[in-house]
Amino acid sequence: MTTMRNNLRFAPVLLLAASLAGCQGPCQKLGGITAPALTSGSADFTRFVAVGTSISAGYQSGGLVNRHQVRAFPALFAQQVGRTVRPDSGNGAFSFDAVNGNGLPPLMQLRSLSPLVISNSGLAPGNMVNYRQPGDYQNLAVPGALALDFADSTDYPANAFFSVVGRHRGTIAQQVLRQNPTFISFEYGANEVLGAATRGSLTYLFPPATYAAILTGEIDAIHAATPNARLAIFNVPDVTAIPFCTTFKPYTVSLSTGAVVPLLGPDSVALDPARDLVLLTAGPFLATGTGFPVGSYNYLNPAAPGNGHPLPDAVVLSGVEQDTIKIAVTAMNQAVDAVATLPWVVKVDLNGLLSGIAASGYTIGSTHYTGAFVTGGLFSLDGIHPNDLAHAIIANTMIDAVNAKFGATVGHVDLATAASLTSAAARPALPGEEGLRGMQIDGLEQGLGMIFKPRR
Amino acid sequence: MNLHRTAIAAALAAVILLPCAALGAGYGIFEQGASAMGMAGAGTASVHDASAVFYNPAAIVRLDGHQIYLGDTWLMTNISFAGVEPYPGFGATERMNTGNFFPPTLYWTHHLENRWKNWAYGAGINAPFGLGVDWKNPDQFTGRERVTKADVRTINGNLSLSYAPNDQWSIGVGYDALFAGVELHSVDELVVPGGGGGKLNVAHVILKSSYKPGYTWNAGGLWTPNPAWKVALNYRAQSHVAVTNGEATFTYVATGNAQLDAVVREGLPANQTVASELRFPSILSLGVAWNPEPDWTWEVDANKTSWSWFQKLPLAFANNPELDQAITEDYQDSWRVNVGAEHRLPKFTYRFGYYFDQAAAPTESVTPLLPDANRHGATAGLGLKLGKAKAWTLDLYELALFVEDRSTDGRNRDGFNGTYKSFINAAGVNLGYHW
Repeated sequence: MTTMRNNLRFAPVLLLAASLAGCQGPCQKLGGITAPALTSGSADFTRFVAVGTSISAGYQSGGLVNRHQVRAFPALFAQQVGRTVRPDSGNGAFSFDAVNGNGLPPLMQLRSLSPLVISNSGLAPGNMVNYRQPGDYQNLAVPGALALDFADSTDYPANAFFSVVGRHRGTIAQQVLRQNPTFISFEYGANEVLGAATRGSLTYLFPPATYAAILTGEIDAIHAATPNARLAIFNVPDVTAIPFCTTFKPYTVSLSTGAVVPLLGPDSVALDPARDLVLLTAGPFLATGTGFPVGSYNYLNPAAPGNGHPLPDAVVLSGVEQDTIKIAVTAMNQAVDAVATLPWVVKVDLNGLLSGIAASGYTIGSTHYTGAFVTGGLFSLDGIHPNDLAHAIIANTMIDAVNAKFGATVGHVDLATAASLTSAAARPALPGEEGLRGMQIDGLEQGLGMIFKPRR
Repeated sequence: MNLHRTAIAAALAAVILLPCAALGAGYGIFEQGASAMGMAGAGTASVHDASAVFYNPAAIVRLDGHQIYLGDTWLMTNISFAGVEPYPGFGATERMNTGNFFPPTLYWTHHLENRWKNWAYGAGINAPFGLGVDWKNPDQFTGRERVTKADVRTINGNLSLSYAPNDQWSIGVGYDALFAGVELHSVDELVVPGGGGGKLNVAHVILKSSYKPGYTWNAGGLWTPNPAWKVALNYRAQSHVAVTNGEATFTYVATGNAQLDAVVREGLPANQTVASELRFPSILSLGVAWNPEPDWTWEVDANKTSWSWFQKLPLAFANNPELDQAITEDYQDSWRVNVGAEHRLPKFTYRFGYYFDQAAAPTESVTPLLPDANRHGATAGLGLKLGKAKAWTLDLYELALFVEDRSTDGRNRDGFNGTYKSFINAAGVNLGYHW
């Protein structure tokens, strides 16, 4: 007992010494937690190729430029599966048609916040820095491309981006299959409906039944040529929910009574405040009072009250047109759903993602992002294309789908680092820009004209 | 007596000026006396100094004459964080500035004599609750939108009365005036218009209140069936402090973009008053002490803290009600179990103990403001009798508080997910005098 007591006397000292000495461990800062290791499951990402539209190409704010191309969702996915993506030259293991400088066409910039001035005027186009790359690009997405264009080069001459991306090396399909891909990102369908939405005309709407037939044929052909390849196919988003269509309200208020009054559409017919959409391209008209009834408040430029002139049809998307587009989207997505039942195909629900953003936004940490134009934080300055952060969200949606279907463990893109500050170089409005007190957008038509043309 | 006055003034000043790190679950601080803390805080039944004012007022009447017990604890906190996706992302790490806190304690008891010999009273000043977080690099800290720095300060004044009808039983009650103040710092960010989703700091926000009072009570009972055993029960009631005139300060941060700055300045709320309510839970303690030999005491305590009292942290702004919020906390009642021993030798006394303190915050509420987690405390203590008449006592203790790593499991309410790691070291001293 005495010995035990003697030993116990030292217990406090020993405990104190142990606790302080042990502080090297407990006091040490936590190391960073690493993402789960990459495994490919039943997929093989060693030769990853992307095809699709301007979304896959990383087109933002009305143009292509390498600082956004490298943040396009296919490039982000490529990085997550271990491919090198070189931002400046575009010639890494996942190569693309890198455009330097101001982009092609020059990207619109936010030049003034109040009044809102978005413009690409005075900017020289960038140069294609990777045009002479010997091999085919891995990102073969072409702004303005339809699913039809994947294997049919008939319309390539009408869209300069086919020269930029395709470089006259054959059809997109030929360039894809030449690489013997093991994994393909297949994102078509948006332009089949987007042209109609952005031009306010169903002339641009591609027949959904034809799309379905083309899609099925192309997927079968890919599988026949590369039986071991896996494919991630994107469904078609509801393009009527993008800021390009939702920013301007189809109504205003009477200056005398304060009552809500509808804007004037084609043939001076009052727009339906609950259904019709006024497109972003209506900005120049609205700024001069066109579209606003006489005696009504011009919410875009209060200095120019309503002049009673109607908005042209091209800047209005009527309820009927929207319904037609939505029906087409539904039919096209049924085709995608059917294809996605194949064991080697996984569907990426782009439609669900964008619909969710339109309905309730997207929260990251304690920051809530929305689909609002300029301020929402998810769309670029053309009001159509996703910005850098939204591309990362799309990439993660793709990763989730791929992991679920093929049993892979591809890590998510880090959203915190994906978000960028680009296009934030706002400065006071310059003389001449102040004339449009509400909003001025230059360069929108230039970009739209390059990628949306009526098709057969 | 001048010494006493100086010590009291110093203790009061320290309590008022210094924030305290939470050592117990939630934001409780149970380190209220070096003697009991040497036994890991297991003192509800066996407390034998003036810290009985905190541990169990029923024990006051078992103390002789006048007793004063003055002390302080040095708390050193190390807290770090490692993030996961989606925010702040894998690889993100953060660290708090090492915290150094000095919550003092001061207790005094007096056993009455003659016809009042069965009565005693006491008074105490301590800080039973507190919180201090201070993340490094606040303008870059990934959780800055929620908090960059926070201090919850309390000072509790207690008056207790104790009565022993016989040698076996005693009871005690106390009245508590709990003064609490709070200070919260955060950074407002803005999604850059027309950008790629990136954000810029646009304002520093400080919510600050002076000390406001809340009132509560405590009561205890002590049963000594024989010299070898003591059984005790102590209850400290819940309280709340209404913060009615806090100050909300919004300070604009230049982004380098003149137009953006102008927009931010225009939209920034004016400085104004903010109201809130701070809630402090009840604590029910049951202690059993055993003296297997005259010079040995062992004690086991079980404590239940009603953290479910803390469900929301409301903030109401005077001029901008759109900023009002009620931060959901949904704390859950938690248990703490203390086991300690004391061995009284002729020349000194040594103590040791261990306690387990269950986390009060549900996973969803584990935040940079309060990264609560289960805690394991190992303590050692030393007691000395000083002076010719042995009227002075000097008690020392050391606590190594090992906090379990706490993951948010991807469920944090603010979307700030990852794992927190904490370690707290405490060393305390109390000087007692009886006459």
